[in-house]
Amino acid sequence: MTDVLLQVNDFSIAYRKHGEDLGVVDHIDFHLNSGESLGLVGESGCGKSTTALGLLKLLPKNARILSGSAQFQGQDLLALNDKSLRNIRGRKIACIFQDPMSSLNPYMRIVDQLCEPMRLHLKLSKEQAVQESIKLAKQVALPEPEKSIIKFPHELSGGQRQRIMIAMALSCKPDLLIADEPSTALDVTVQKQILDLIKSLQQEMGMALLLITHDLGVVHQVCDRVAVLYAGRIVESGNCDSVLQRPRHPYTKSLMRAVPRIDGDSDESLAVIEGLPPAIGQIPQHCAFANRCPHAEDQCRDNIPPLEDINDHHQCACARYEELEHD
Amino acid sequence: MTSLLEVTNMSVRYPIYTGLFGKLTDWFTAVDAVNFSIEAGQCLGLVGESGCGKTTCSRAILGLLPISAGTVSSEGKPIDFDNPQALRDWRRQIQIIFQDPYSSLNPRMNVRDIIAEPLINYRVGTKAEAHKRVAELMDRVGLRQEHMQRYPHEFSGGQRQRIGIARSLALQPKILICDEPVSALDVSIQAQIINLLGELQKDLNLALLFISHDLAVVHHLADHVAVMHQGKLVEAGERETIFTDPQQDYTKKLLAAVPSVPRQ
Repeated sequence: MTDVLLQVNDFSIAYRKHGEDLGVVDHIDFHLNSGESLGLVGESGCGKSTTALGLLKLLPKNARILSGSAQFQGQDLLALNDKSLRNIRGRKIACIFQDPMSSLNPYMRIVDQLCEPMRLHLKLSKEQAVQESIKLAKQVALPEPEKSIIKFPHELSGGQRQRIMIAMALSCKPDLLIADEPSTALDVTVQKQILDLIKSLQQEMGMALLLITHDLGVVHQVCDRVAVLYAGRIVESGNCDSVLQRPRHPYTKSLMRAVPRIDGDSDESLAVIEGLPPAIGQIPQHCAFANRCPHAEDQCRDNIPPLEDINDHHQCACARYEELEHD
Repeated sequence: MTSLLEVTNMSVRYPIYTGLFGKLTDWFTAVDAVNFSIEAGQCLGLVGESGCGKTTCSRAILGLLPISAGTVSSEGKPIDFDNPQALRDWRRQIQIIFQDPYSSLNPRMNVRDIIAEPLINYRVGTKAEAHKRVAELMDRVGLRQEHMQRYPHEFSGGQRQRIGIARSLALQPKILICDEPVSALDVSIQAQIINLLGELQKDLNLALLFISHDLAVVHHLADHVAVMHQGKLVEAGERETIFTDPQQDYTKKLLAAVPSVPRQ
């Protein structure tokens, strides 16, 4: 099953500040097949959340989509009006955000919040929706589902709230789930439970997953494919195993070496990427990593390297990736 | 050899007030009879999940929270937290780096004043000497001296954390508490700060209490590891023993939950 569910082309977003457009996402292309999971990784400010929110036009007012298209089931998401988008958000494409406390309404009981999308999109009656909510609560392994869902959000723990967010996202059986740092605010042991839950539900329901995270370990645990973002551009993408075990872009390579490991040699100091990523709105018109890259040459500062195929399952945007293969 | 920092049977309890008139009804024990010690030049990693009492522990050691039972001692002498002069002397020896480099620096002070503040507070040296010391410290932590007049908002997260580190070193403390110093930073910046802390600890022979929820970071820096769960120390020992041969179920569970990155 390799039909393309979401095809994003030439997608650019900028934030407007003092009458100037500051580019955040710079002409990116990616696709997502049905039932597949794609991890979008990068450091803060690289444009990963902006990309995800941009797909559903949930960006703040000062953001502008400069170019691009996002084909989803025969429709261009970026060309739709608000009314048509409302039928897609929550129903075809659902979202989970980082902080479950600020995504839930503190004045509403859990059950009412769970029922809302089902009553709106699936036109269920109140009784049906409540029955479905109990089923969902069981599916996401909430303890004592009948009792828990009549509580208010503040009565639940962070992990339980994130389970509610997942239940809510899954309630209309979406084709695509966008999860923006779903486990970052949680403890390690709870993080593992939540990631395992997302992964098993994704496989069970056959939906596609776009997972946004800064943590390469999380991507490795959950995703089939990965796209590495740096300063608003995809620098490397491909099958998770291939990219994480044999990274080819100097940025991905250095990032992997900079991660402390629990089985590593701790007497050695960590590999460091010198310098800082370019500031927002200052993405250079050449390889954005050139100023921090130990292998940068003059050609790297001439133009933007395109994302080239290394093989069918691995793409890399570096002018020198072939020479640097064994570095 | 006596330890630079020795915590014996330390407990910290928070009062629980209920009802309209705030009647004291119960106590919550956040830290429950905890024991550990750190020698000069050693790093103890204190790990655990949120709410387990790690931060409460660090605050009690600094005298920022009252200790309900037990003692904190240094070089064999217990610290008298009720004596203001003793507390002041103690805090000259022990300094802290906080988690959030945004809220732990005063936005209205420039970098020079921030780093010099401990020196002024303890009336160390003249103004010119303080100025020279600030320049030295900025060099040491990898900040540029030209940036002395800048304000915190002009720096990135990693650089702000360097400012916090420089400030904590100003009084040449013997013990440094790091409370989740890298969890707000990106991976590439996190590596820079971890390496800096490792170097400083070796060069200055500091005793480091490194508090973190991230086992991989602790594995990288600590010589000894103590695992905390619901206010109690469940397991403590040499780093390699804890990571390769954990005895307690809780430690095993914690280790198994760390998402791993494949080797290249």
